Amino acid sequence: MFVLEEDISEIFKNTFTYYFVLISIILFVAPLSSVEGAHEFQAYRMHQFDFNSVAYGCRSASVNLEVHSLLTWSTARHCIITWLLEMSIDQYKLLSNKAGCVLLILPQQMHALSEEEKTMVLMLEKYMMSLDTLTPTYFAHWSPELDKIATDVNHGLTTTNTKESAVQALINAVAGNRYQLVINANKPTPTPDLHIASVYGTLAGKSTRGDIDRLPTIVIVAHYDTMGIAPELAMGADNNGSGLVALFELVRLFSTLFGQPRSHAPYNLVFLVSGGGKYNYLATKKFLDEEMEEIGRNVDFVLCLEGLASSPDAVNFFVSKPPKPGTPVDKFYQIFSKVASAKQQQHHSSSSPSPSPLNITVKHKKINLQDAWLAWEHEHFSMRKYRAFTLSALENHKDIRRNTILDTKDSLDIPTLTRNIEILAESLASYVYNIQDSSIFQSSLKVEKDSILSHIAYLSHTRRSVQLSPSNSKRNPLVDNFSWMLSKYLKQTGSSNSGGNSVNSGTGSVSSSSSGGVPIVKTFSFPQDRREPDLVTYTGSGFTSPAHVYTVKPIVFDLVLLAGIALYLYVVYLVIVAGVPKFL
Amino acid sequence: MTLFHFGNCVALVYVPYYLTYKYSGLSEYGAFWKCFQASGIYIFIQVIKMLILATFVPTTDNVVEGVDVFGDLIKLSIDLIDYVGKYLVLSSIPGKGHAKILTAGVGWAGAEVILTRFLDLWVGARGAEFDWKYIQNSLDSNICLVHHVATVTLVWLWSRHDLNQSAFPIVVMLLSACAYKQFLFDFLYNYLNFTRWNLLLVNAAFTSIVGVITLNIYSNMAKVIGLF
Repeated sequence: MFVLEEDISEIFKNTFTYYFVLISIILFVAPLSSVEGAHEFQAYRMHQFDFNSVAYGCRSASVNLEVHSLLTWSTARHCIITWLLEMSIDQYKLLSNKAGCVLLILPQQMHALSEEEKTMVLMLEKYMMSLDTLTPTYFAHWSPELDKIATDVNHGLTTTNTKESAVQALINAVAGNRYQLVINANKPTPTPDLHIASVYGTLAGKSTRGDIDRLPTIVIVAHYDTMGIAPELAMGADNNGSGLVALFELVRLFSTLFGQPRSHAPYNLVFLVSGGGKYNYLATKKFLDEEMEEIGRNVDFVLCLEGLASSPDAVNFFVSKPPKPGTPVDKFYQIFSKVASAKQQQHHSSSSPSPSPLNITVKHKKINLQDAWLAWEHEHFSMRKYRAFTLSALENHKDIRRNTILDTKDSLDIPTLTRNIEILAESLASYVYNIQDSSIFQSSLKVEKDSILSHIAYLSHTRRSVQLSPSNSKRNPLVDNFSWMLSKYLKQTGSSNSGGNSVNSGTGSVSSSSSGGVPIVKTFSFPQDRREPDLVTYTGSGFTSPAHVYTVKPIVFDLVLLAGIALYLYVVYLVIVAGVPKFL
Repeated sequence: MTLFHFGNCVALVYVPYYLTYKYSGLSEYGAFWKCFQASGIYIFIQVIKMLILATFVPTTDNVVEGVDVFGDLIKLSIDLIDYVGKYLVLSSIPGKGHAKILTAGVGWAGAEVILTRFLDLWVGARGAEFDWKYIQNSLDSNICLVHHVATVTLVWLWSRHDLNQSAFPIVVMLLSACAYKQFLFDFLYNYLNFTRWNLLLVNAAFTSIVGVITLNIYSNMAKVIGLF
């Protein structure tokens, strides 16, 4: 028996010690696991970009700081966790560049805010967007745990000053819970080789003499990118998801119409899904520079779509120059108004709950070249002497609802959007066929709500901010998808053969699916100038990082604990020394 | 939380063991190697227990909630093998009376505390998150020392043929009480909503009572066989 024991202990003496040493080394070397965190959640960083050499957004990302409330913070070593609705512009002014970090908890239900709250958030967002700050600013979705932490921090600490006795305050100072916010993120660095991609497709008109190029062309434009204070959260359902939906719906309807020889109109339709829309419509400018010639010289007008569901009772024609009577823009405006009023009467007669009366107005805004930000997409076209306007339900170009994280699928007014798309489709059909009757889209061929919903569902779940576009890649999966959606319909109209071919031009890459020489759907992307880039975006850890909030104790607590343990051990010592030897 | 906190916890766990080893006279006997042997047997017994658990006991992952009485009963019964292990230690370590029992107890408890607590402390108490449970576990391992020394004594008493007949049932009762005490704690925790601090107190009280009774029987025994 004893020999066996010796053997066993020999084994343990040899192999087990090696294992133990090995495990200890691994544990010493291995980084501390952060899985033990009290609460882990996803934090969304505020945006960051340089536009025309002006810096916007927050410049840093990494955080490891003690959490404080708005009332108790004092130095750059403190981090503030509070609710977005509790934050005001003045407070943020105080915080930015002074506090260590700001984490804002989004409202539990973003779409269920009251009008006042919405305005407050929008104003704050607008202010924050104009800033350039060193304070890492993060956003997080509401969760019960995070809410509790914020409540603890905000209320627990403020009441100590007033109500509790000195003893309690002392206990709190020594043993009270503190929170530590840790966000491990790499330092943001400029995105190398940023490409902005766009796609356009052509729906060729019916030409009797075979010169498609001479046919009048209508260009329909919608930008696909979004902007919000946090790029990851900017879903842009209305701006510009609604414009995109309208564009895709028009593609679907008119490709069907043009597919029939009887209803093939003598107009070319060009659909442009443009990138960089939130940064002075960079891709639109590029499109004008490089692609516009290809689509033909006889451009009737350019129709830009943006924010079609912003307000239920207005649709505005934004122009850079008031349209003269008889010009295509004016003609289209007249048709649009007529179709809209007919639609309204239809609503009245069908005695459905009538929506508020629809006001259609032409709003004139001169192009201001001094302004760093271009107001509307059509201004690029107007500057090149094309007849162009933007169709939008927004009030004006300064509307704060254009760039916001509140613009989600849930807050989108789908009935308004559907109605506006219906009016738009009918007016465009009336225009290209030159007929007065506005009931072209009926029964089998009409604006489908399901189609709109599916587009909205896709768009409002896809992050479309330019700041999130892939680096070092000329291809953008999002734009590839748009290209696929366009070619699904536009393929049918051309001649039978269609295939992909790729053309590399000097400035960027172009890929197209062509049919009979004329490309039908064409993707073009272009890089930023190396010396003077218009736009510099930043990557590092991206705009979302896992965040941890740890419960910690102050350092004094450890010292007090040490004293307590020392006392306890002394008692143990006394007991052992006094007690045990009696038996030996 | 910090390295400092880790240091605090380590001190709380291991200093009592060191003190027991040092001041109970074990160091004078040069009993370190014997303690080490006891630790070796401890590890051997744990491996066997794990093998039995893995082979014969069905997994209880599918128990949704509540206490799985039967499963716990089996697990705690397998812990009875610990007594066999302790008997093994007692029978294989040469020595007389007190020193033998203390060596076995300290070696056994020491091995347990090093193998089960240290990793937990190193990973947990050093992490950023503060939790009282590391202090609680450290205090708990102090209780473990008393528990193991007491059970080793009981096993030794049980193995003696010259044990007083009236004391025998008490020894068996205490042994089984020690083996199944976890039942009591689970019950208190699940049904009476005891906090971990209260459980620690109950455990301390329970173990001290067992310890005191054991000490009484042992000292009577020691007088009878003339160990003094």
